[in-house]
Amino acid sequence: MSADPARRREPGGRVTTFLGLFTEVIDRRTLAVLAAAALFAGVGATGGWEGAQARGVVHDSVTAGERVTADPLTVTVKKAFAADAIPTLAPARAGSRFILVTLTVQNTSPRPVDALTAAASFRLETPGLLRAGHPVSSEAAPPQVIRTLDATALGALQPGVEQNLALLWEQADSGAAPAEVTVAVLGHTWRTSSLDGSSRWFDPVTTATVTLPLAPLPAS
Amino acid sequence: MSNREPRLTTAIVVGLLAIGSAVLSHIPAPDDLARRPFVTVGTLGSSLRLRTGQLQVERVQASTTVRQGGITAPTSAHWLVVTLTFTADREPAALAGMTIRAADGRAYSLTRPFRSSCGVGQPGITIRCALPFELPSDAVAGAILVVPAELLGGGEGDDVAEIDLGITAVTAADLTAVTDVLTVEAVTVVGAQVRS
Repeated sequence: MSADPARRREPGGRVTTFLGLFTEVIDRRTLAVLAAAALFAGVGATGGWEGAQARGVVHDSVTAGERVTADPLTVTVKKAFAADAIPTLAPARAGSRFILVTLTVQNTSPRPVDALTAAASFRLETPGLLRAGHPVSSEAAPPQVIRTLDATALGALQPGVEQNLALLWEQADSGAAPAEVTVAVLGHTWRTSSLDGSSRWFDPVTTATVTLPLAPLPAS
Repeated sequence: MSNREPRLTTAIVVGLLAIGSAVLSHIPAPDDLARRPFVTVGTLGSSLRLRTGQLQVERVQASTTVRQGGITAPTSAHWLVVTLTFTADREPAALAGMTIRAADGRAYSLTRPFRSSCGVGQPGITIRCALPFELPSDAVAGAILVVPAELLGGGEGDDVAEIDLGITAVTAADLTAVTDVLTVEAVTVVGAQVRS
């Protein structure tokens, strides 16, 4: 143990002084081995390395009609259309156009996926998107999700039930419609919230992108 | 003290801590035990008592299209329509958060375009509800209706009824073959029950 008061004030000196308290019970080499073991166990238990690996994953670029797995969904993006108005779904609005993307979706998880999570699974990577008439970024513009079977808003995706859906975005009509659009498909992780203890789908991560030609919506 | 004794002691202490940690990880935590629901098991036609009232599943039907009030909804799968009666006990009580649990553990909820609950039952008044669940054909056989006494908490730490709908592979095949439009009433009042 150091008796020098000046050395004890230094950070390194304090550590040496602290470790010196245990020298009669446990030697420094064993202490170092235990500390290293505790560090490795702690990092492993908290999934630290797993997270670092996940962040390095690059998403795929797939073609229309190709099936994508983005937990909790499997998604097949089909076609994209543009229109100034869509009967029963989107009445004409001055300064806006609507972009409609058709797709097939299946929930592969063992529990229902609510409409908000379903909408958060898609992003249109195109500038000029509107939400409630105001310009927003792509991240802040979730689509309306509509069942094509009866043109009603999606309530939930039930496990194992394949649904044909239409995603609807509103875009500022400040110029000609783009020739093509890119749809990002995002996967989620089922986990418990650290805030309220509830379990939900969190942490959206882009799993794949699909670039589609944007065609005018057929009249009927 | 020899040089080996401290290392041996350290190894024993670390080993015991590891064993203790492993044992603890396999024992349910007090919070988990407290949150477990109190499950009452029943079958089609049997009367069950939850802390909020009395419940009985009357029948199970299915179709690919269901009409309820002004809403007609088709599905690419099947609507499994469960009809039940409920009589609230001492205070108004709502049946909500009901799910179907398939034999493989998958859960199915009530959702748009139909009602997601049975509404509020008044004490002593029996109401009848028809509940359409959207299921794929492989989830119909062995389906169980799960009814929590209250929505909040999803049944955690509360009464939950689990009712076997009695659907065998044979009856499932019959149910999933139906394509005619099935018309049902969401909620109807059956009448007052006289308490003995």
